[in-house]
Amino acid sequence: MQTKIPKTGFDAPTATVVPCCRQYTGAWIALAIAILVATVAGCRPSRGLEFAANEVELLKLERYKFAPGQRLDPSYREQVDAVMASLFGTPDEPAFPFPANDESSFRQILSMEHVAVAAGPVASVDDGKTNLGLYRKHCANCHGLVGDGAGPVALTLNPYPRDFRLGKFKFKSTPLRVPPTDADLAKIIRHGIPGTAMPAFPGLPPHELAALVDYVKYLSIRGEVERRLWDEVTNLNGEPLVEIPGKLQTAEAREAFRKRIVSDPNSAVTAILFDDVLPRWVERDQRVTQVGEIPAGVAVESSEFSRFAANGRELFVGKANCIQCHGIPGQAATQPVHYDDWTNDWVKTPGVDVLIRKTMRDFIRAGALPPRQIRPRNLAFPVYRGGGEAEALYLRIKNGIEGTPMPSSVSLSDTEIWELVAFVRSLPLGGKQ
Amino acid sequence: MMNEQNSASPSRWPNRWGKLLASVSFVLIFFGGLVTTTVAGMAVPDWPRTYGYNMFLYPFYDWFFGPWDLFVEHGHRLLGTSAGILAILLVIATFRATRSTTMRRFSVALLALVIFQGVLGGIRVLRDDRLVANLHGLVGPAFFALVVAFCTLSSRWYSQNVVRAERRQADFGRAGLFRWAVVLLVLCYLQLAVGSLLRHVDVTISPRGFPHLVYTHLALGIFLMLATGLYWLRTGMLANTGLRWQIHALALAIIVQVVLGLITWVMKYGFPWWLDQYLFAARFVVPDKTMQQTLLVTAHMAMGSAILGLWTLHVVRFHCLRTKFSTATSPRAEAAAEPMPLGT
Repeated sequence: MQTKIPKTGFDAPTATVVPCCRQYTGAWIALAIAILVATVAGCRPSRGLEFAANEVELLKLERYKFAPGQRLDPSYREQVDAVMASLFGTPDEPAFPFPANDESSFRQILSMEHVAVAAGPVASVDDGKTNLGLYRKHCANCHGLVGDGAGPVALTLNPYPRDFRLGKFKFKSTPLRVPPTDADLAKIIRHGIPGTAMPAFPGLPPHELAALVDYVKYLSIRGEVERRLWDEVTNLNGEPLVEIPGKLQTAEAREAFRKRIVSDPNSAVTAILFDDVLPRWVERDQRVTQVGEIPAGVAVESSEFSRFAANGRELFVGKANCIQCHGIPGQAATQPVHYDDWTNDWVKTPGVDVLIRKTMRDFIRAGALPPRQIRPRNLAFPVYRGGGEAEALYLRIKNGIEGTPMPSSVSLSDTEIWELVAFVRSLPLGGKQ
Repeated sequence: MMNEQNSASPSRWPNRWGKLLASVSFVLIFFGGLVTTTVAGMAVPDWPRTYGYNMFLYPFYDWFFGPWDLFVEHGHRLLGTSAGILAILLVIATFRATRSTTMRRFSVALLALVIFQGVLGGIRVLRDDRLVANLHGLVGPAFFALVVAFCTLSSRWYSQNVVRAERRQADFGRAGLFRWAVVLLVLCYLQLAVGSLLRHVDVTISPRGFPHLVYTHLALGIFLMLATGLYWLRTGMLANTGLRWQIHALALAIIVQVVLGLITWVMKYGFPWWLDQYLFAARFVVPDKTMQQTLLVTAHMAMGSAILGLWTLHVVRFHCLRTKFSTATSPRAEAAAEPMPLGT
């Protein structure tokens, strides 16, 4: 038998590796192509990004206000884009439309130093002690670069991440239609939301937390202003929203234009900014719902707890009618079909039917996420997304949950609300009263 | 005659350096995974220097006791440089130990690849480019797999396998099983590529693409799990223990990897909504960037590379045994590709 044995064991690969490479040339080429395709698919620059326009809002307004097939005049689009870029800058170089007066109360809304820390690409300076680009590092994958709640991973999450542009936030200490306080936003970021993809950031330094809070406000205000601008231009009949002074490609040009806009008292843009959107953010701290003294009967270990919970049960199935959505825990309940305001905002547009997919096609192409039903909380578990403390439960019942079918309880007295809190707290205990 | 030839004692140094390089590469991959998991890739803005310092002269205290992002990014750089130095030593040892052009070229190719990988890492920092970050994340496991292949080809096991091949010739002629192993190796790398895209997701891409990547990753993962299970069952025919232990290790690693994958999803995005009828899911809060989350998510990534390394080891060994068998029994290599009936 003729054998082909190498001189030493170590030299042996000469006989085997080369045929291996030749024999599987096709596999190697396939592998190289796969790598190339995979990497090219991920090719995106990290700098020089722009905020995307709210195409869903524009499409909705066109459906509401224009004849079928009619679109907004492209010159209005350019004007809105120019105004938005000047007022709010870009994801890398954010700006804010503060009024010219340095003493203005609007300057309390947010700190541009904070916004600058949270904006831009992820980076570190000062030997890693100062982190920049916090929003893109921690939030943008879900909430999106523009805060539209349609980040790259959004479709895989249920519930969807919050779209900040409506200016609506669920868990807060302020009444409906009043923006949340900084403490409300910080609480959600710090502790997360159980049962959702919203993470807790227990290790985030306080200054980074404050930066993220301000950046969320920045995106929310930006989104609200943009919606108002689209609404404004769809009402105009040929007259311009603003005169654009040439190209606005540099930060200096945008700043000059911004100063011109905010100092024009007769402009529609300043009316939107200083009479509509920004005052709500200034007033929010004065609009916080006062919880008052917590009755002893709300505490589970209290001797009063049973009486409170029993009264709460009567309210739950009667006057407050909580049973309509929440049912009786432990029993099968027919839950009504509801959508939250972020979905209702566009699915109630004429011609759209959530049961007929093709009627939603244009909106989904424009960036809307497919509708998902909102489900009432299962009160059999001691898990409350806005926090389980007595104060938090009181606020949920008193103020309702913004953007959801959970209403505010205008007809309930404080005592009745506390009794409902006691009943809700008794449910995970098996209805112990 | 054969025993005399194999009794020659070739230098073990290439294999020793190779094993050390493989070990360092694996730790390097883990650190690279930590960098991605904690989004620390831009924790040091300059390259090849670190905050103006020569990489090796950066103050130890500032690095080791400094911010976490700096610790992992600078640590990743130091490990990468160590891998480069080890690759140089590997080339020297290989050139001193053998006249084999293939092995010499192989060692030089490894050195070139580790340099290329280092430059990619530098470009990723200087340009802050996702494309390069992705490519960097893909070259790492490929380099590790090639070092494993080098270790196998330079091992004592390899230099002695001819005798075993003759003894257990029936096992190595199974071309079907071998092709299966090669396909699974390639799919394993593709799975790493999809995983890399999932980890390097860019904030500007449409949300429509990500679910497709997730489903592809899931489908490939399920296929790999089932295919590896079937392969594991069929390897009862491979009497050679030099191959079977790898299959056992692969089966175990795949199970661990599936569990780690599920944990990774939960630690990143929480439980699926349809599980919220259970208290454990309803009350779970995603713990972002905690040590627990960071280590578990990174372990999933590192286990992927470990599985790739195991498949590489298995495929190279399998191929060596088949080739040895073919050269020892037939003048025509093609004959080896024909499956051998059981019991021959």
